[in-house]
Amino acid sequence: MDIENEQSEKKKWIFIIVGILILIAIIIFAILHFGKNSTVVKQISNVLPFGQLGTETPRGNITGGNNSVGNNPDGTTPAEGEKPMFLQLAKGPVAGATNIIRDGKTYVRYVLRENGFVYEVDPETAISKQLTNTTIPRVYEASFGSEGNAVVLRYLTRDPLTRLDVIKTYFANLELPTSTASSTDTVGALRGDYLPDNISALSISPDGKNLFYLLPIPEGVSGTIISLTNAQPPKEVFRNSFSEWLPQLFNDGTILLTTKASAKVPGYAYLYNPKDHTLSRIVREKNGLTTQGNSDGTLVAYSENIADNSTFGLYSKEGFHGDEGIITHESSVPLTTLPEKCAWGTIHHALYCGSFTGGGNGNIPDGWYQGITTFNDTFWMINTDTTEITFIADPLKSLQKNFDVTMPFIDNKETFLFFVDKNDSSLWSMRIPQATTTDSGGIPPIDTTLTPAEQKDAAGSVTH
Amino acid sequence: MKSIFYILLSILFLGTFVPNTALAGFDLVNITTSPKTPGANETVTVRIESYAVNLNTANLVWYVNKVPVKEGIAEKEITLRTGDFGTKTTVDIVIFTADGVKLNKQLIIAPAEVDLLWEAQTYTPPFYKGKALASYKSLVRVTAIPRFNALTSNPKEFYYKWTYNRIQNVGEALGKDSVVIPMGYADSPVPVSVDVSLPGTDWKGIKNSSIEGTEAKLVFYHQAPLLGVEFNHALTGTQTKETEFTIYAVPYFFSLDNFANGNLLYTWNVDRAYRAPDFDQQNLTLVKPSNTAASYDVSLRVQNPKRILQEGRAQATISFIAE
Repeated sequence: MDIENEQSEKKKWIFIIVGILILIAIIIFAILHFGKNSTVVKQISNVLPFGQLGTETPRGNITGGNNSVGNNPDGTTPAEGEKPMFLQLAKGPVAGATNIIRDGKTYVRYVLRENGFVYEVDPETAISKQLTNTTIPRVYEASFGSEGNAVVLRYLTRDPLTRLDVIKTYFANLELPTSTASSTDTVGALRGDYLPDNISALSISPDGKNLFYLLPIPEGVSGTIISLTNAQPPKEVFRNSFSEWLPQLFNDGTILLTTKASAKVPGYAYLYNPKDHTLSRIVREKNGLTTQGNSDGTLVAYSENIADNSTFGLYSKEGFHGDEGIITHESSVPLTTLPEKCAWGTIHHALYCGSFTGGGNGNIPDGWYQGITTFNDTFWMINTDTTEITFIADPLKSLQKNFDVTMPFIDNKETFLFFVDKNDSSLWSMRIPQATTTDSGGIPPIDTTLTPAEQKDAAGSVTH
Repeated sequence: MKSIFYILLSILFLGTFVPNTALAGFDLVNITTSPKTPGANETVTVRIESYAVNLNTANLVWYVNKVPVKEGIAEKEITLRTGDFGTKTTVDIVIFTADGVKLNKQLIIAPAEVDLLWEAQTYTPPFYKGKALASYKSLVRVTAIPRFNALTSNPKEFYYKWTYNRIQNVGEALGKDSVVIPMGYADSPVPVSVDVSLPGTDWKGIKNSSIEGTEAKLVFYHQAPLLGVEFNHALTGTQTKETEFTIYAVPYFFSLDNFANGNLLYTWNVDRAYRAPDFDQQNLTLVKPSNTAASYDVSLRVQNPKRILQEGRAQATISFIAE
């Protein structure tokens, strides 16, 4: 009898324990299922052995390729209908690229460094077509304007007398065969003229209508604007005793002038208005300052070197609204990158960046410019209204490839981030994970919060 | 003697009947500020002194922007904070002497802002987006960018007075917005200062800065036959399948005039033996031995005999792979 009682008592406890476990399981399931975006869920998910539950990060979309066709990391092709996240658009070293829209579809035009030929590639298929066959060897820089129909090629020659390098700048229009041409294989040519020798820097406005260049003169530097859409003569609009500027021309004709950067030297950035010849200071006395403004200059991304660490921030002409109504013009962004690695969203209030970790031996940006430091970038999006950051992709994990992002730009539909990998000057596209857009142009409500573990996990590493 | 004193006193007394600003320049009472040229949003001490008026027994009333801030016997100084950039701060002092004389003094603080930008006249390669740094005995052009409101107007309208190394005058003149100064040793910063004023106005500004020196450096790159110099990647060592490999040396931050005049001495060594460079001294071309693997340790020393401490060294190992 005692034994029976004891067994009955044991069964009773087993039922209670099993019941409690089932209840706990139901509660956990309910939390994970109905509270996908809560921080608690993420923390729980992180410790679960079976991975991320309840969250759908863009990582799941990452597939990639190391050739013209995107492949999965294991070498298999993506499932039918699944589009690769990374796609190599040009294998050969590229001097510059831009995106165009034709018949409602996005294409990328680029210039090959070795011969100056212009190609056009479909970013969906990576199929390229040669547009011009005018040979200009060893092109170092190429910039497009006039909706991809004009190009500025920069290359070097040697002065036979002084034996010094001379920078040649060739500004040309693309003369393409008409659509009525019988053969689709017909290749066009470049027709243009040379700008003055030794132009130190130039910038084409985002709308592609104007070009601004700086030319060293004995008294300092001279700045000239050229229209790319009409035959107006070049007009000198700027003169200054200081010559070491990097310019960025905006659509409204104003020019962001930033002093060339070095890690331990304070840099300045000014907005120059050619109409009244005034300089208004935007950012001042930041070591290693580099900048990049959006198309109208209302927002400027900048980086500075603080105690051998590269820090990133946004400058807003209008100002950021802080607590208690305080307006500040500068706001830091918790991302380690350089503005040269970022491209402004064309629809959303967003900035897409390649981001690195490590200080690059502290000598940033000098080491990167000199080719001594290279970075392994991960891809992030910054909400420029809130400065919140969102992880997009780690190509090292998804593609087993390191990218050192440079010359990034976004297509008009904000579907792709195009960039040149500084390691080999190859041209790539990254498909931007799409979500429901908002009418105001704000960032759609996709997952924007990352745990420190995720941020660390997402970050690349620096190599020297 | 007594009559002179009465005349002076009469003049002072007359001052009580004329507008305040009329006596602003009256020099019997001097106003000084510390710092001498205040900036925007800066704490400033304003003092008055006089050899003609006994301020120790006078009642002094201080106004800042027409608001009374201090009053008392022998209160000869106040501390105030200047306004935002582009705004003027007006300080009025009303002095009631023990003899019953009333004097007015006025000071307008109008801080101009000055940025000091410098660019070293040293070599960097074409298309280099970084700054040319100052090295031993290199020349540096310093440029002032002054403004007295949010916008910088024509810098040639301002008057500039330049000094470097704290005491050495480098000139002063209307419109002289830049000067060229020499650097010393690489590890010795050179202080530079400029006083800027806009003639005919109260706007004044001062800026002190320091130019840091650095060592000149040498970096190797690959000069590719089809692509040109690959500035994207510094070369420390590489393997190549080609039959020729050209190294291109960039002497960063050597003085530009010496570089342009061909004064730099290039000493190339391959496997520790001297090797004559190509026609262009910045280049050295290695040739692969017939169909065999080979590795070469290449080093280069560049010296500037005109500025003897400008020197750089670099080395790289180039390995030709057998076919």
